[in-house]
Amino acid sequence: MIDWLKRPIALYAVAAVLLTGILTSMVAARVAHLKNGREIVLNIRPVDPRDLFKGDYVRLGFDISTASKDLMKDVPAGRARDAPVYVLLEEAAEQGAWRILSITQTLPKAASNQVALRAKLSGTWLRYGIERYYVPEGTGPKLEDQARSGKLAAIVAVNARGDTAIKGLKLDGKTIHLEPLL
Amino acid sequence: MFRYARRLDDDLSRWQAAGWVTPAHAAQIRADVAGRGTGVRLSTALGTLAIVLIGFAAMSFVAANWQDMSKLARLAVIFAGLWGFMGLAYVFAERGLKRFADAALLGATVLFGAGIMLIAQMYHMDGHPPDAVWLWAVGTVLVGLLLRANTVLAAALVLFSVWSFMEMTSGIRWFVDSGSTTRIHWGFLPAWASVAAGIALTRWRPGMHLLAVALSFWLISAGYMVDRGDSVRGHVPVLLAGLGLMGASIAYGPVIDRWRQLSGAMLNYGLVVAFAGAFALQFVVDRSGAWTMLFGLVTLLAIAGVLAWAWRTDNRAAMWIAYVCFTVEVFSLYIKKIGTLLGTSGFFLVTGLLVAAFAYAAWRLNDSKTEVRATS
Repeated sequence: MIDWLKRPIALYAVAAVLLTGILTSMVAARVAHLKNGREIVLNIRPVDPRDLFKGDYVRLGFDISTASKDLMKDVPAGRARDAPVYVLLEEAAEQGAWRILSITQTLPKAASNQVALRAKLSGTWLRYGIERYYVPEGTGPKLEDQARSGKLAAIVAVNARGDTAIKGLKLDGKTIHLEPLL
Repeated sequence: MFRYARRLDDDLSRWQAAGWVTPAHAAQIRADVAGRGTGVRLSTALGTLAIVLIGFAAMSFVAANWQDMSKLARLAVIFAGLWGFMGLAYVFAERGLKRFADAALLGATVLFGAGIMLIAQMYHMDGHPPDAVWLWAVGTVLVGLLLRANTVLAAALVLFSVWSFMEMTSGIRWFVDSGSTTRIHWGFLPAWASVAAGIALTRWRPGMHLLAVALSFWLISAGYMVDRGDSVRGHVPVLLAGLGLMGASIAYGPVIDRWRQLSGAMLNYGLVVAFAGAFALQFVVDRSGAWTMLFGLVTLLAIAGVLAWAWRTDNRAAMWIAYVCFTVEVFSLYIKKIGTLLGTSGFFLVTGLLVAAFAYAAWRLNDSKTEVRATS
C-alpha cells in the first residue's frame, strides 16, 4: 500500500489544470455574458435605507423586485420551489423605469422595448441574482450617502436566456462604478 | 496511539510478573510498538494547522477585496498559489512525506474554493449560494480521486454535506410558521457515492466511518424533509433503514466479517439511525399518549435486546450507544406523557427499577463471561 508514492507528476498537473480550468471557465462565461449581453439600466430601491451597506457588499432591491397580486395569477401555486420564472419587462419613456408586464414559466418573446429576465420567486419577491454588489473596503458609507442624495441605478447585462449580471452603477444618470472585464 | 502504548505497557508488566512473557519478549514488543508510530505526529498536526492558516489568509485576501490589483492579477495570485501547492505536494510525495503531501493537496483545494469566492465577488455574482459550495466540492473530489488523497476526499465529503445541508434548509423560513417548503435532497447520494468510490480505492478505514456518519445524518434529516417532519411517511423509512442495517449485520455478520470487519460498525450505525427514526415517530410526530407508551415500551425492549446482542458479540460501541438511546428514550417518555399519567415519583420508581434490572442483567452476563474466559 504505497501507491501514493507512485503518483506520476502528470496526475498533479491534470489536477491543477482541472481546478484552474473550472475557475477560468467561470470567468470566461461571465466575461462573455457582460460583453455580449444586452445592456439595460434598472432603478434601485434600497431594501432597508438604514442598512443598505453591510460589510463590503451592498444589498440591492429594485423597482421590479416585487410582483403585484394580479401578475401572480399566471404562476401555478404548486410549482417546484427552485423552478425559475421569467419576468417580461417593458421600458417607459424614462430610462431605467421598467415595468413588469407578465410573469411566466417559460421564456417569453420580447419586443424591442421589452426584455425578459430569469428570476426566482418566493412569495411575491423576485430575485434576479443581481442583488449583491461588492464595494471596495470602507467605501460603503460613501456610496450610501450618494444613494440617499440621488437616484441610484444598476447597469445590467442580460443574455439570451434572461440571465442577468451587474456591470456597474449609475447615480442620477451618471456612471459612478464601471467594472473592468478583467 | 499513546493510550494503546500505555495500556500495553501496563499489561506487559503484569504478564511479565505472571511469568507469561519473558523480559526479552516484552522489550521486543515495546520496541515494535514504538517503531510503528501510526499515531498522529506533531509534524503532521502542525503541517495541517499551517494549511488551515494559509487557507484563512487566502479567504481574508478575498474578503479584503483588493482594489489596487486588476482582476487578472488577483486571479493570477490564486492560480499561482494553487499550482504552487500542487507542486509542493508532488515534491513531498517524491520524498516519501505522504502526510505533508496530502496537506499540500488540501491547500490546493482550499485555494480553489477561495478562487470561486473571489470570482463571485469580482463579478458581483449573487446566485444560489449552495451552488458555490457544490462547485468547490466537485473540484475537491476530482483531486481526491485523481491522486487518491484521503484528506482531500474527507474534505470533499464535508463540503458535499455542507452543500446538502444548505440545499435542505434553503426552503425553510425560520421565523414564521407557514410558507416553509422542504424536500429530500437526493443530489447528495451521487455526491456521496463519488467520495465513497475514492475511499473504496484507498481502503481508508476512518474514511469509511466518515462516509457512514454523513450518510446516517443525511438519512435522518431526510425524514424531517417530508411534510416538514410532521408525518409518519418521513420517519418510517428511516426506522426501517436502520432496522434493515441492524438485521443484515446480525443475520450475515460472519459472512460480512470474512470480507471486511464491518458488521459491528454496521450494527452501530443501524442502531443510531433506527433509534433516530423511532424517536421522531414518538416525540416529533404528534401521537396520542397510548400510542407513544406502546411504542416506547417496544423501543425500550428492543434496546435491551440490542444490548444483549452487543454483549454477545463483544461490541463495546453498540453497548454505549444502546445505553445512551435508553436514557434519551426514558427521559423523553417522561417529558411527553408518562409524567402526567403515573405521577413523577411513580415514574422514577418504575424507570429506576427497570434500569436496576438492566444493570443486574448486564452484571450477570458480564460475570459469567469472565468465568468462561477464566476456565478456558
